[in-house]
Amino acid sequence: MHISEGVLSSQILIAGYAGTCIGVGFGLKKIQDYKIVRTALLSSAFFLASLVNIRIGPGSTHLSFIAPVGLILGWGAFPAIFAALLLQAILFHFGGFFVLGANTFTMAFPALAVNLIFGKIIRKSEKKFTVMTFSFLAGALAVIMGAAIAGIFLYFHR
Amino acid sequence: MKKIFALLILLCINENPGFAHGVGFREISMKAVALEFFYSTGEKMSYCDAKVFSPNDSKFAVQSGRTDEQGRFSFIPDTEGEWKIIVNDAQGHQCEAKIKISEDKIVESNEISFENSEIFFRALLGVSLIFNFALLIKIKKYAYK
Repeated sequence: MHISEGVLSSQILIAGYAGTCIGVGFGLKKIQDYKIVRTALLSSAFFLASLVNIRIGPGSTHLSFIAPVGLILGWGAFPAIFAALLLQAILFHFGGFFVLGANTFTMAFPALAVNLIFGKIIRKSEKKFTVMTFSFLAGALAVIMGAAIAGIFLYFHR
Repeated sequence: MKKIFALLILLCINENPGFAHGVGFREISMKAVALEFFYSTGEKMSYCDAKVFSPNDSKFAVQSGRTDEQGRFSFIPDTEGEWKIIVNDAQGHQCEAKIKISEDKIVESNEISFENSEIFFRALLGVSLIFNFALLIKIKKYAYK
């Protein structure tokens, strides 16, 4: 779901950075002390997930980890995903610096959204089946939302 | 009658390349530049839109087409200078190749390629940097307390 450099218009790039700045600011402010290591761990998992390729028929896809990051970290998903994407841009040339804001928003917003929608149900539920069902729904919704946001951004491409 | 005759003559001299020109081909021995486009995961950028921009005009593509199944695309540069090739998969991925051509050969390019061992070390460096960021935030939070 990484959008490459030079694809989006400058307005979308600025809007992406604005949304990301708000999210990262809130995330860093809300992050509790004991959750910092957890955030780093999930950020690392997110950073590495893109390198794991899974073949599906003639094509292939990679893991995204959007929903787990969102469900566990909440607002902390923004700084975690921002750090992971920044390092992916530097070390693997995924996306780029100008498009980092838009890419972070594309993945962190669905993460936060699934936390707000399914977080409480999953945390409170004691039944394994309910947890698994809602976790599956959270994962599916996160990917669909991410693709939809990326699609909206690409609709306004240069 | 004269007017109708004049009109008929005008209709006869109307130029239409479809009627007048034949087509043909011949083999040429010019050196083409062939490039291979891929994702950083190693997957080929197959059947993606490709545009070639000459050193003289960066706005209008001199050639456009698609990469083949193997993500390859080739063109024949006719002037010296920096040529730009943009390949876009219409799903948000775009690769911009810049190559400097001099005397029918590439003298400089912004080629990007990854070795497997290099990916492993970069991944390790990335994870290490993330934990260092976390440590910095933790130290800063303690400092403010």
